[in-house]
Amino acid sequence: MAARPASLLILLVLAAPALVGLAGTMVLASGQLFDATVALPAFVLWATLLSVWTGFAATLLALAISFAILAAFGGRAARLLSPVAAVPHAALGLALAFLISPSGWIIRALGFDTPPDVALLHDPYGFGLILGLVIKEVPFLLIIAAAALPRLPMPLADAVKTGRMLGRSDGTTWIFGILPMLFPLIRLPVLIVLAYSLTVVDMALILGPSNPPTLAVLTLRVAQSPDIAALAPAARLALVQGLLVIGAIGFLLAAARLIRTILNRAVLAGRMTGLVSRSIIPMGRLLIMVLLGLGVLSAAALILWSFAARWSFPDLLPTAFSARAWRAGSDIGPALITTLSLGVVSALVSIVLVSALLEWRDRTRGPSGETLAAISALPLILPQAAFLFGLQVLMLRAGLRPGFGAVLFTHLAIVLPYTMLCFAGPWSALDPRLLKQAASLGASPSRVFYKVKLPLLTTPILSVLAIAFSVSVAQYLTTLMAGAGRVSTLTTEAVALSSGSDRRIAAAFGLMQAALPLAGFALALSAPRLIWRHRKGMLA
Amino acid sequence: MTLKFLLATLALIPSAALADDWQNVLDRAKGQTVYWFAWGGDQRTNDFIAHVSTLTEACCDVTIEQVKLDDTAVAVNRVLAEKTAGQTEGGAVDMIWINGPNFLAMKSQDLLHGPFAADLPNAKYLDLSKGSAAATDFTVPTDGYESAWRLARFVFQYDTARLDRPPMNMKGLPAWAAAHPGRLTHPVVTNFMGATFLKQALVSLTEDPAVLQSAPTDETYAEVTAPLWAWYDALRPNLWHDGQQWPENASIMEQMLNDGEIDVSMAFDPAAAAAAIQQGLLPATVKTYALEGGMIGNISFVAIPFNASHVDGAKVVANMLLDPKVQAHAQDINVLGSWSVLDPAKLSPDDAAAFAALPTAPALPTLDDLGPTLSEPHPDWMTRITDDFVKRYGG
Repeated sequence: MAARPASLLILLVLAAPALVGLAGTMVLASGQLFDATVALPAFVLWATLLSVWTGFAATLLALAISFAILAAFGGRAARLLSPVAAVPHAALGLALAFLISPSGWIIRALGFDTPPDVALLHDPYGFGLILGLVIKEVPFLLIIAAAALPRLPMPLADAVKTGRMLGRSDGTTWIFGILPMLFPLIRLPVLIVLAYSLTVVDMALILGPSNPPTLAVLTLRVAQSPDIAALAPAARLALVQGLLVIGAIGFLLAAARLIRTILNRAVLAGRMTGLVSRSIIPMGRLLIMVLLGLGVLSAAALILWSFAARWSFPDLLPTAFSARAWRAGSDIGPALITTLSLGVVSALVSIVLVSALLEWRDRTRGPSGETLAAISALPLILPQAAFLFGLQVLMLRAGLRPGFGAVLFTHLAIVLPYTMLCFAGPWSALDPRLLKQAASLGASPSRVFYKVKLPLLTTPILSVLAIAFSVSVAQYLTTLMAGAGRVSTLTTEAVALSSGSDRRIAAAFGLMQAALPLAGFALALSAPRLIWRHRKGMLA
Repeated sequence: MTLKFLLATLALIPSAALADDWQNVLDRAKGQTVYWFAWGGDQRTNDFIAHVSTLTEACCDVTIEQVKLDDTAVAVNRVLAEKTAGQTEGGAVDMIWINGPNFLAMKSQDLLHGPFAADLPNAKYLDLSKGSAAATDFTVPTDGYESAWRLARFVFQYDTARLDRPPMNMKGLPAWAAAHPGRLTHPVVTNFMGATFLKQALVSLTEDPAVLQSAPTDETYAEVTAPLWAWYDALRPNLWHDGQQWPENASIMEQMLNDGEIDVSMAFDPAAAAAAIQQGLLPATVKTYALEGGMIGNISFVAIPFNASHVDGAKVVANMLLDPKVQAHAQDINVLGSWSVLDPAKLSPDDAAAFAALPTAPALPTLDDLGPTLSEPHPDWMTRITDDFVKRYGG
């Protein structure tokens, strides 16, 4: 059986760092430095509850909002919001912090002369964090769902038409007809969103509650506490995060099944109208305006702050401008180069490795697309902290010193699975007739790979490269831990600056951090036109 | 060991040997890059470190790469993680900006290289006698395992445009807060500035501050801290966000003072407000002041981890930091505005004149404004009251 080594190799390349790191974290957690009391059980419990609440609320809200927008606009909506999907969590968090803080833009616009003494930012219940996550995840889910719509068991237009012929409103058709067909197609990305929201660190540091913080932030805080014996409890908290994610996924899958049953019962009983059915499409129209508005305001806030000289409360606009943040922020240059290098190298290495793995799988009839997706999803669903602690110690043992190489390695541990997840689809969608024809004309498998597969896949390769690049740019915890603070990227600097006194420099870093992936996607979208300018047929 | 024996031992070492040793350090340091793990929350400090790097590069071919931390504990943990992993050389950290509990933790766990401080040529400008400020860190003897580089003084700041009279003493703080609910806060106590706020209160509220100079026993701890907790219980309900939440650090408080979210901010640098005003970070109406009876002050040090990759480069940097010209540059209000750690009596007339010629600024407080410097309690006090605070109030 040739399939087995192929599966093993793919598992090794995609998931080994995460699995080995996880094992290392377990060893660390059971270590002798076990007795340090770093946080009270009640505090940890609260932090855990906060994580559960913010993670679930953000995921479910994002899911509901995406679905409402989809019902109102169809797949088109994804394109409108896709720039937001490219903006890293940290940059969005920085911008949102200025909008919602007690001395922020919204309060200023309401005409307060003294900022209200209300915890609007870092609020104890995590509403700010939920808002940030929702704004960030809705565009992602929309893109995923829009890509899945053509794969529905029946064409979308037919479903809506059938609904209308039966006298059902479009809202009713979407909820009772399309949702149950759509959800299984986007289940995996939804689980990734859930796992990510439960364990996000950078955005939680910027927007989330602080006393207690979410479990992910608490883990980092314990890991960095001056109490040297705290590494073991930190590793244990990281493992709790892992259990939390597993439990949450099980719960979500069970809940989805339950909802499906309820919807089916309602259909059978003929109870299909209701407030939700009637309001879903108007809600979708309203919500997309709100999201777009927040997106535009966020971008404007970052741009204004990065060029502000004096901007006091309650002025709506800066009273003096200066480019000091861009000039004095001499750290931007090195951080930009590091971020770019990490992003470009990890994206290129990933696409080469993933293409090689997929090609090898094709030749050896290796694991199916589903197995591949499951393997790739594993490191993405596992909380980063759960394997980073162990990985850090193991890398040191192996002589890999903290620095660019170690950071690149941990970035690859995340970027590779993402690349596989995004590239396996377009790869499998290659028309097998073309490949067969090439083979029957006498082309060797290598020739088919280089002359048929790769050219046909140019457009997806470029988009996947852009996605891989943006995933690397947005990495926070991986960079922080593997780099031992020595490797500064735009992301680590932006998060560090979010707790500094100079919003101007933080805004400049946030803008740069957001601009990089956007530039990457713009390049990916425009490059095929350049490459195929003499072969218009390849653009179809 | 008798004094005679010590002198005899010293006599065996020709003074030329010391100079030779330093020449060896310089030779080995050539071409090294020193990874200096230093709190990065202050742009002026970051710029100063970059300036020192140009000096060490020019004289000794040593460059500094500042690793900007938001918490020094990160560097401490890095070194510990390396020790746990058995890495006894080639460590990631070459030098740490350190003092207080972090120093005590590293020293007591044998995580530091040394003693080295007294062997630096520029140590001759320091008063390193037993119990002197430059040889004592939060009452703990440095024993040569760290070298001084800047003085820090705790100060308060307020905006004269928003507030007529700021609170003037710790005892009266609860009453002041009751009259100005929601306008006062302090950084989280796990941050060194938040811990300093608590220590300032502890020193002010204690009848006999001398007891704070040695490590607390369970008895002295209970007795001395009882008034502190009573005081905080009275203060807390009227703090910003009902005392349920605290800003992460003093930089955030500076921004909150600028935004008018609070009335009083804190800094460990009397020149901080003047610098922030220059950069547009604070309105020109902000003033720096000290509480009645004086404020806590301490010295910042640099230490070298036991497994540092570039020990010699780090020594070159530590030595450069003690150069009288560098110290005078640091004391310049336009640069750092932090007072020199050197002993004025040991300076040459030229160097003393350089200090005397430094500019002043209107937002900069005079030494009279700042009043007396209160000494830091033993580090165990800080560790215990912050732990206790977290248990009582969270954070």
